[in-house]
Amino acid sequence: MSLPYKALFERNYGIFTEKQQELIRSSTVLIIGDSGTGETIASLLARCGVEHFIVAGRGTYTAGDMNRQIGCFTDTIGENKITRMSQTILNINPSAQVSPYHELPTEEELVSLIEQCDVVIPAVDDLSYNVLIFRAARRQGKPAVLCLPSGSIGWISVFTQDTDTIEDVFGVPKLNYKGLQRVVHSREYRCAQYNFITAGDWRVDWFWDYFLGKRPLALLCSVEWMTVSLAALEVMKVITGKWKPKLAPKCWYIRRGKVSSSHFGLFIKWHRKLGWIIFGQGIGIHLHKLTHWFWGTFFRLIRYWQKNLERWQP
Amino acid sequence: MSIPDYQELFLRNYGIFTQNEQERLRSSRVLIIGCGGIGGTVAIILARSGVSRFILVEFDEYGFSNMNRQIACFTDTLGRNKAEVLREQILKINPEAQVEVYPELLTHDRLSELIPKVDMVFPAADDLAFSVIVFREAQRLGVPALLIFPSGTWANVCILMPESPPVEDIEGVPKLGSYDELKDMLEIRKYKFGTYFYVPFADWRIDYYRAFVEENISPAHIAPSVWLCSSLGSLEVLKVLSGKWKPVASPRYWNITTNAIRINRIGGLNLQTLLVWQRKIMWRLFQTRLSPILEWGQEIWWKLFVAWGHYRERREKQPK
Repeated sequence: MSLPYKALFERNYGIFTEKQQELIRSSTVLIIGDSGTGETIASLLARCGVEHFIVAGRGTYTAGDMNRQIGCFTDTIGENKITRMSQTILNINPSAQVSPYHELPTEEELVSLIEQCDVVIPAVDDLSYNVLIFRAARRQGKPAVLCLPSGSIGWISVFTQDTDTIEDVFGVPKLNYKGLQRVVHSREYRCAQYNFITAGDWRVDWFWDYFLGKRPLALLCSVEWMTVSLAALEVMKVITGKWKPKLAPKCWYIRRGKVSSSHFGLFIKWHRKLGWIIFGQGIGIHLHKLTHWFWGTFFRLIRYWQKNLERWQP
Repeated sequence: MSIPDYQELFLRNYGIFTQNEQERLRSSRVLIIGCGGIGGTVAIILARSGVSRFILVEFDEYGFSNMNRQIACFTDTLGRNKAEVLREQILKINPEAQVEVYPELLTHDRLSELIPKVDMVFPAADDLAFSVIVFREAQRLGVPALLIFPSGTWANVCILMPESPPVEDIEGVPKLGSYDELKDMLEIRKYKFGTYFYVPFADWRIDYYRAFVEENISPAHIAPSVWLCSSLGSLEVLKVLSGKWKPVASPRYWNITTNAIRINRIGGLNLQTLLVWQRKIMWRLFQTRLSPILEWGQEIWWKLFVAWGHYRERREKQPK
């Protein structure tokens, strides 16, 4: 079935000129990832009028995805996410073209996929893989949009060849994929995500279990979808050139139920960089006892603080 | 296959909300009047957050022009009642949810009957006059209400608590008594000019805006902006229902544009205050004997405004 493009996206022409809408229509968007963000952004971009999608990822819906993933319903639990995502896009705009890949691409495949697209959206759960995508996009001169929600925090920003890199803004060490993966999955790195509690309103007990690897990321639908809508808006800015995108180190920042136009914090960056210099190599291993003591105290403090906070509630 | 229970479905919420807070969400009831762009998206987000009881009011069916932003509009739901489709989706998200659907226009009596039964009211019909009446009724009956006014890339979002300053103060709508009076006023051309900021702030194209004023075509919307204000609005609802954060309630309100999202205050130092005062003063002036002269002046202003709009658009960088 084919539906008239102009009728479907009639209201868009109140904002975009014919030329701009044509640009949106002919752009190719590459979405890599199976996290909730990738799927929601695909659906939003399809509703904006984008007609060319390359989607890659793996994974099936589980019950725990229900609280935020747009394609997760009781009758789709167990279904493949990428298949479902492609169907949703076609159900919105039957003349869209979707190329689905059911695996995360290797580094070589990544290069050829990025070559075919105009905007890259890395949306993998694994940060180390995301960094890899950002690096490749930068090398090939393609803009990449960061869309990173967690708990009630979210970051959205656009990275191009002329902006800061993702490593710069988050203080990620410059390692290869294997090295990054080791760092990201280490307990010390997870400790450095303590801002999940302070800015993201995670409950301490949950964070503790997350730290031990027993619990997944805490996520909230409204925050995740707000992050995604802002990211889709940035994609529209990049494609049409109608507005100036939020280029790194500028970003949209969602924190404790508030959203604002902001900058990536220097504190987090340097603090992580310093942490890496001290604990990352050789002698640092022996310092871990010290950090264990530090985090122990930190968690006790936060637990105490949260308990008091809960007592205040009605 | 057995259907997972509530705790399993909303597992990841418990990383943020305590058991108590989530229970409060679970037992809350939300009334959504109008299930289009913002209404539908808020309904789905609330359902995915674990809110379990809904009353949806919508008489309209999905059509072609809804596809660019409405969450449950698909090629296979075209022509079906919006509230019915949303009910199906909500029940597939949370099988224990209770969803009442009213596929009709609400009368005033029905409204006063429904509002006391719920914990949050969301007037999301694209009829401003009707929304104003709903807000008044909600405040009178002591029920918090969610306000979302989107247009193009701009939006206002806030919660109206029973004791908050009313919606008229935020948007500068004259305090007329009845629905018919309000409706008539908002549809007359000279009052429609009060929306002129749609062009500079909400990024409407001037020709589209001109047709909106002169030929009454539907307002312009794009998906990212509609979903952005809907997700921010539903976050505000979650704040009120769970009690975890303090909501942004009138006299404070969110002001969203493509470049910045800020919290404004009624009467604060911002452009919207200027606009509200302008609307208030013009409304008064139009009641006086000056009215014919003003209308003549307005026609000249309109011509200049359209010319300025065209000039502005020409200067905009055009894609190659």
